[in-house]
Amino acid sequence: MIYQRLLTRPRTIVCAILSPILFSVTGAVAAAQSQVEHHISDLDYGVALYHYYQGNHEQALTELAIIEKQRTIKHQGLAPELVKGGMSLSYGLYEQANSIFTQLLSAQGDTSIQADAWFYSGQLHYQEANWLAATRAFSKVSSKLSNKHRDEFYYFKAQLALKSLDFEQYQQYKQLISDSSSHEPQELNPAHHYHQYLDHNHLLQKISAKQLTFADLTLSISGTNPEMIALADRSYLAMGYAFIEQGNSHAAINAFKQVSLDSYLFDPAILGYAWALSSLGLHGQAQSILNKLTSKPELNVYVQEALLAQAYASEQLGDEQGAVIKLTSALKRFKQQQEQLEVMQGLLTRGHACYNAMILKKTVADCNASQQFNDLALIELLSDTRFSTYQAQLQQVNQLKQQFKQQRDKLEIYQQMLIEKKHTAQARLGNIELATLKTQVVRLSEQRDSLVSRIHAAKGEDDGEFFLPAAQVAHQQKVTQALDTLALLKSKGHDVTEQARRLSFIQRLALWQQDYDYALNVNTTMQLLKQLNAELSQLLTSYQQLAKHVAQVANIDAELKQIGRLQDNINQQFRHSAAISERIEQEFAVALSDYFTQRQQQLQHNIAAAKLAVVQMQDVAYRPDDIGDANE
Amino acid sequence: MKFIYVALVMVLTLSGVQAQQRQSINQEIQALKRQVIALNRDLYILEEDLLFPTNTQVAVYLSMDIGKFFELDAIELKVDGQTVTHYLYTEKQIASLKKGGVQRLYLGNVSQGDHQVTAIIRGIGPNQREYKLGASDTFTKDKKALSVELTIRDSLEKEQPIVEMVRH
Repeated sequence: MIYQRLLTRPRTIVCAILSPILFSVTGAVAAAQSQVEHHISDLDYGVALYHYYQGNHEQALTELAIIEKQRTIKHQGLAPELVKGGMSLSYGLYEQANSIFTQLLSAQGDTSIQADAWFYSGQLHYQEANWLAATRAFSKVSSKLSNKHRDEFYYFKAQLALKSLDFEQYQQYKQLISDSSSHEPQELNPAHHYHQYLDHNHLLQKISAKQLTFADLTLSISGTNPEMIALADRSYLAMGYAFIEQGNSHAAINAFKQVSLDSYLFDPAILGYAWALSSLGLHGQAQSILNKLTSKPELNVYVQEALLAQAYASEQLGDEQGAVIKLTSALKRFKQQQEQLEVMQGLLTRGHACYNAMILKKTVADCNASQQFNDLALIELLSDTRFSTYQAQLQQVNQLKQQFKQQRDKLEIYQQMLIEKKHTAQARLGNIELATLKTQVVRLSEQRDSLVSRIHAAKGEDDGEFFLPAAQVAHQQKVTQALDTLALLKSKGHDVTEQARRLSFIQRLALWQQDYDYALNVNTTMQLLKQLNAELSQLLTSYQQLAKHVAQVANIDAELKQIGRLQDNINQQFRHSAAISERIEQEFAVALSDYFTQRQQQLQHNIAAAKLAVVQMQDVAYRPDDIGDANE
Repeated sequence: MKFIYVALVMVLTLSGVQAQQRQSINQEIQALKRQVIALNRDLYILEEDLLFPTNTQVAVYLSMDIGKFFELDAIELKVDGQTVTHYLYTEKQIASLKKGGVQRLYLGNVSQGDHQVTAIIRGIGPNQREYKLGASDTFTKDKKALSVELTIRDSLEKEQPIVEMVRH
């Protein structure tokens, strides 16, 4: 009786629990460029490619953005645009990538660029799960497609053929993918894994078409890297449950045995293994296998099923009392679980601080350390595809937030640096007003120029007075006046011979002094002029230096303003990313709440089933054979 | 029947709304990513202006052509006899160089005038033997930024790797 009830469980569980785990996988779709490129003539463009080929898409796009802002890329035609589209696609900038490919495809040009653009466009639609658009884009890819994209192109075509159940075409495209024995290391060449991902998805198609055979147990998926081991585990688990559904328990056991011991799929594999053993009547073995699950402290869906299955195995072994004890113990754990779920739901309504800890730190220990959150459903939550989108989105937004923070820190350093530079420049300027200094320089220059022109004029006109001291000029004037007076007296009949002789002597003496002073003053004036010139030139140099400092300060001010603008922008983006993060957390909280409700319902269902089984076994009138017959 | 229909419509509407919300968040994340790139770009340009102005800037790049005879391991770069960078390569970086990527090996400042740039490159050469390549040249720095490209290439005639140093 219990047998029938319990054995119907795998069928529902396979769909409900395993479907997200066994969902077809797309595998690594990053561009694989194994071919040697031509030598890059533009160094900065080459730097962008250097980062791109290492999978550092953000740095690569930044390098391209710098080139775009500062200048154009030389000698590369439309290739940089194509590469930018590819980089945008890899970095998750789907809209930007789409607009680049659309632009490239509308431009008439290089057919190989067009082929690559169609390929990228197909990849974009494939990643958006738009199979029809992807098929359409891939159908337009010509034979001019770059060699580096060929394997990936055939991989996508094979995947699409699988989705449309065209196995013949699938095989054709799969065969076109180059052999995985390339010289390049496996981790650098995703083409190595294409065959294996295709095999996995082919297997899932076979399962859904109920075409699975014993021969499928010899999987071609193998490898030592964790990605391939996980893929093989998923394939074996899917096969195991499919074989149980087909009633082929031996094949199922073989499949479950292949699942790695440290795999996160170990629990469902153990449960399936025990079910398969039970269906072969090996209840004792099933029971000891189930112990591996029931001894676990957490109570995930597999452990719950294992608790019921263990009771069933006891019943089948004729130990009805043991079965009742097991069911009673299971009931106790189910009820404890119910209480724990209620506590968790309570935590959920109080806030979602632990979601971040849970999602970002990824371990039970970290979450427990940060919050009083029990590990009840944590492992399930982290491996559940329902939450992977939120997880991925939150991780992305948090990374972006972190980047904005780093950018802000960097800007603060630059700001500090510039402020110090400005202070140094200002200290050099002191209290001197550049405008006043300039006026002084100009005034002095004008005075000098005027003096020079006057000297030249005086020299040209042989103007003796110009170079004489004022006293001498006054003396000269007095002599001239005396000569005039003597001339007047002489004309009126006075004898002025003696006075004239003395005046002539004084005049000669004055002229002699004048000649001497003239030569002396000319030299002194010229010397003074030279000195004035030198001082003026020195003053001018100082002025130019000061002007440089003033310009520097002005330049620093402009840069500080730019930093301010950038800071504002970063702060705005940071706030925006925080708001987005909050929204994702809210949505995640809703999904988590739904999840808890579902878990509660499931528990209630298991509690009811366990209670019913206990009642039936304790009922004295209960005769398994009768009820078994009645059920049949 | 009517109840089932209403419930179905509600479920579909709800899932549609959720998908729309998710789509809008994805678009906003894309916008944030674009902003990160734009800010990175502006920061880089600012950094270059502040720390490596054109009149003193010197940049040394490394590229590879084919690289059949040489498996790069490490490089030491000297400017005027002083080691300015020492770099150890990962498999990924070597693969990127072989595909045509160019590494910005060094970005620094020098005064205007003549400067000697020396590169010592270590790796595995023909016959799997440890191989050392060296190149040195003098460049005159003027007001323009100085860019020097080091290229490791295969000499098909000599069947061995060579390194070239060119000013751009």
